[in-house]
Amino acid sequence: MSARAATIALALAASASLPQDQAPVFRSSVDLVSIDVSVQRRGRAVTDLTAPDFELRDNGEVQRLLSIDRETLPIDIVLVTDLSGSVRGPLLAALTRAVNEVGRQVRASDRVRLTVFNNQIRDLGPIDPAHVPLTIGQLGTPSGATSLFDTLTVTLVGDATPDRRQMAVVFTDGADTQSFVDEAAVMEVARRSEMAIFVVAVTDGTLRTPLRPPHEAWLQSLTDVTGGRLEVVQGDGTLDESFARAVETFRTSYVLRYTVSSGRLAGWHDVTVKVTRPGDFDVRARRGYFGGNR
Amino acid sequence: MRRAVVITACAIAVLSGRPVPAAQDDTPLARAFDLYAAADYDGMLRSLASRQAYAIALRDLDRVMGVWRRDWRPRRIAFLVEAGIIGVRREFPDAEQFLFAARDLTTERVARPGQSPEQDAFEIMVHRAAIAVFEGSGRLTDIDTYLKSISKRVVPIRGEPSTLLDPRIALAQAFVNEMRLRPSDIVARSGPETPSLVTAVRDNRARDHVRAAIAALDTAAEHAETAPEAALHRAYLVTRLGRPQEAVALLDVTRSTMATDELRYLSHLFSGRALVALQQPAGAITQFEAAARVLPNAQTPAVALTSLLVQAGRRDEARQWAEVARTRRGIDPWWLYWTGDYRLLPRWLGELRKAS
Repeated sequence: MSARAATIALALAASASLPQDQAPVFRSSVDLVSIDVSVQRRGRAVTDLTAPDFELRDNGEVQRLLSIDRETLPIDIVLVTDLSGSVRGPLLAALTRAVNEVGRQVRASDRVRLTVFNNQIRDLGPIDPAHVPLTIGQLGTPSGATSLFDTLTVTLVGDATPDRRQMAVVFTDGADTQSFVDEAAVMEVARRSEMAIFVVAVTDGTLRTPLRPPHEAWLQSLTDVTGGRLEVVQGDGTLDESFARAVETFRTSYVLRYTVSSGRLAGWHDVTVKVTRPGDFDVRARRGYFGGNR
Repeated sequence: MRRAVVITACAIAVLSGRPVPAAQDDTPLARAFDLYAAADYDGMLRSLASRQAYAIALRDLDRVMGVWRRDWRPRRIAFLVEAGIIGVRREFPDAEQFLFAARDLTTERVARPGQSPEQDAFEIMVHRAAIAVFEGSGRLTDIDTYLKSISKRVVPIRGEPSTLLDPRIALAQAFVNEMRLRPSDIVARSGPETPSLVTAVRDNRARDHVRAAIAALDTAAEHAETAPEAALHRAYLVTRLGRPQEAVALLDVTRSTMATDELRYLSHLFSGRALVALQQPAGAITQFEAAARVLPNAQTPAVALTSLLVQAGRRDEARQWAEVARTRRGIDPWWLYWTGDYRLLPRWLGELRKAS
C-alpha cells in the first residue's frame, strides 16, 4: 500500500482551495494516493506553492494533482529515543529537553507518543502537552544494548488512521548492537510504510572536529525513502533545535493527492516530485509506495 | 597513623601465636569479606559499591592473598569471585584482578584434580563464574587470558587424569571467536551457491575465528550438556556465513534435545532467521510464531513477524505484532545470546555460596 493512501477508497471531489482549517471532502470512490512533500529554500520552508508549481511523476508518468494541502491534517508524531547505556549525563538531559520541545510544539489536534529503546522497545504512551515538561527520570534509566533496527521496524508499521499524517523523530547516538532484523529488512518495511522518518543522530564529535555517525549512509537512505530527513548533531550541538526542526519541516510540508493515471496500482511505484517554479528548491518526498495487492 | 596501628596489632598477633586475621579489620576488603562470610550478600555489595571503596579493597588484595594462600578455604574464593563481579559490572578499573585471584587460589589447592570430587566441582564452578562474567561484559581479552591460564588444567574433552573436564570451556572458546567475527568480515550471503565456511569471510583473521569457533562447537557438540547450545550457536553462525540451509537442517534435527524453554525458543527463532535468508517467508513465519508460543513475553519474534507480515502485505496482522513488540516486558533470551554463559551466572553463584 502507499503513503497513507494508496488504497484508501474515498469519495473524491477535492479542491485545492479549501480553507486551511477544513479537511478535504471526497465524493467518488477511487484509489487515492497521497504524498507528503517538503519544500525548502535556504533552509526555510516554502509555503506559497500551488498545484501548478509541482510536477509529480508516478512510475515516470506525470500525474494530475487532485488536491494540495498544507497544515490541514493533524499529525501523529512518534518520538523514538535511544536509551542505551551510552545516553548518560548531559546527553540525557539534552534529550529530555528535546522531547519537551516537541511536546510544546504540538497542536491540540496532534498526537505524540514516546517510545524508548535499548535492547528492549518500550512504549511509554502518549505525551500529554499539559504534563510537559517531562523530567529526566521520566524517560527511564539508560542501560543496555541498542536495538535500533528492531525499533524502527515496529515504529514504521505505524497506525492505520487515514485522516492523519504520520512521522517519527528517531534519536540515536551509536551503532546498532542487538537487533534481530537487519538493515535490508528495515528498508523493505520502510518502502511499505506510510510514516516519514526523521533521524537525529548525535556523535561524540564537536562542531570544530565533527565525526560521522554509525550507519550514516543507511540512515540517509532510510530517511530518503520515507520522505524524512537525517540530521547529524555533533556532541556540542543542540538536540532540541533538531527535534523541533524535524517536526516543523513535516508540519509545513504539502500533501499532494492524485489517482494513478494508468490505473495500474499493484506493485512498487517510483515517485518523483519537482517544483517547476524557477529557483533552487530542496524538495523532499518519499521515493515511492507499494500499491494494490502487490 | 591508622595503618601503623593495625600493622602493629597484626605483628603482636603473630608474635603471640594467635591466628593472623584475614585482612585488616578496618579495610573495605576485610569488611566486605566479613559480610560475605556472614551471608550478608547485599551488605557486601553495598560495601564495595563505590569506586573509591573498591579501589581501596583492590589495593589490599595482594596483602590479603599472601595470608589466604596459606590455607585453602572455598569461602574466600567464592568471595573473590563475587567481589570481581561487582567491579566488572560497574566497570571499575582492574576489577578482573579479583577473578584472577579467585582462579589462583582455587588452582593452588593441595588436592590435585581427580583427588577430591567436591573440590573439583567447586573449582569448575569458579572458572565458569569468572568466564561468564567476562562474557557478560564482552571482555574478550580477559576471557582469552583466563582460558589460556587454565588450559593445561581444565579441558573440554577427556584428557589426562590430572585434568578437569568441563565442556563449557569449548562454548567459551567458540564464544570469543564468534564475537570477534564482525559483520564487515562476512562476504558471503545466502544464494544458489553455498560458500565454504572459510571462504565466506574476508581475510585470514576472520577465517581463523571461523575455524576456531567451528572446532570448539564440534567439541561442545560431543557432550550432552553442551550439545544443544553448540547446535544453536553453530546454526546462527552458519546462517551468518551464508549457509542457512545447513542451519535449518541442524535445528530440525536437534530441536527435541532443547531441554528448556529458552533453548527451544532460540531454536525456533534461529530457524526463522535461516528461512528468511532462504527466502521462505511462510516457513519463517511459522517458526517465529512457534517461538512466540514458547515465550509469549519475548519481544523478538514479534519484531520478526512484524517485518515479514508487512512485506507479505498483511498489514493488520503486522500492526498487531508491532503492538505486541512494544508492550512485552519479559526477558528475551535473544538479548542474552551475545552474553554467553552470563545467563547462568546467578545459578552458579548460588552454588558457589552453597558449596563454600
